Amino acid sequence: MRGALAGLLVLGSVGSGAAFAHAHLKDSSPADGSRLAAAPAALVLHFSEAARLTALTLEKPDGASEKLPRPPAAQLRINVPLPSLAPGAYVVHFRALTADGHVAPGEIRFTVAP
Amino acid sequence: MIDALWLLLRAAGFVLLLQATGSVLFLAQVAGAVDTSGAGAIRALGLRTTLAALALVLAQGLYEPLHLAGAWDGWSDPSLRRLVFLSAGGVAFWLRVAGLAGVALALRRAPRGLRGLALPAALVALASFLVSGHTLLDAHRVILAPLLALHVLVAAFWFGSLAALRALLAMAPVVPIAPALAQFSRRAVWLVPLLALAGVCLAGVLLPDLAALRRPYGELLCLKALLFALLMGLAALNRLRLVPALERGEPHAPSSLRGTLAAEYFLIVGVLVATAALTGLFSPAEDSSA
Repeated sequence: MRGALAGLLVLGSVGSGAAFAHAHLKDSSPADGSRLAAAPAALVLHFSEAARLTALTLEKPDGASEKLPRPPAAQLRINVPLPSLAPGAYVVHFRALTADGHVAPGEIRFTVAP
Repeated sequence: MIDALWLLLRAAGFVLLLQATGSVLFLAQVAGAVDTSGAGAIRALGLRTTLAALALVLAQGLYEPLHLAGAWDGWSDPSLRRLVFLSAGGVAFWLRVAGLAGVALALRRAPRGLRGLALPAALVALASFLVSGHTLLDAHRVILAPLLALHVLVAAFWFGSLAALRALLAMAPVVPIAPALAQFSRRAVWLVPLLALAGVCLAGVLLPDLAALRRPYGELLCLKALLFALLMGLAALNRLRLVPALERGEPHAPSSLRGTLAAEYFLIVGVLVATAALTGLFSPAEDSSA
């Protein structure tokens, strides 16, 4: 068993050391729960550590969803252009892959005032 | 629904992976105490479990793009497929596939082949736990990696041994079970406390403070500790009452022992399901929304 443990440690040390870190959303623009006088031109997500978006969709006031473009690599601050938004309530749904392999889901709700 | 299925696959994957590799560890540790037909039965059980584990690991890999996307059309996104299979994150997946394939090949062959390949292949599969997750990123990785290696190795040995011992008990008295039980007990009596010690040390390093025990990660950890305490009670019952009764030839002993081994098995399944949830959904330092 001691030999097996040593073997396991050697094998484990061969693995990936490349990593993002366990990230969470620190803040965003538009902020969650915000009410905006004018439609935002872009969505900005600011994570605690570099994270890779694996899903990003915009849920519109009529319930329809639109996929938004995702950066191809992990980033600390993710800036995504938004389509032209009419007044109403929107929800951004995202999933971020963190370094430890976690998929962290999240959403941001905001309203564009008429 | 997508996340619930993902968690189900993850938990089942833990169960089958540990049982498959555990059967190899059991054979490596207890081989001298098992006769040819008993060893053959354990190899056959190990092979079936390994093939099921391999199928499940492959299913997990195919399902992962859906989990990353949070949508059923996730598989259609080539960037997510690359992320699962070709990026650094795919190392754990390929270690499991390679390790389990090696175990399956070894168990299909004669004992000579088993000795040559099964144990290293099982270790390759178990090493997958060391290349992902919280331990990989923690600043105390140098301490955590050996602790996690010990924790996983002993857990696999214990879990695999339960299924193997039940298989042997089913063959008693044609196949003598007492030597294998005695050999397993000699190993378990010092390995199982090490498993608990490694788990406590891991929690001590990973948890930022005692308040973390009231967050989801900590609560699941407490559930694991409770299940472990129940396991220790059953293990003590086996060692102090049922194994001696079996050695005295008491007629009820085999069926009682099979029952308690099955109870131990399902308690460990509970521990593994809790582990799949706490390591897959939560972080030691933050709550689930972080």
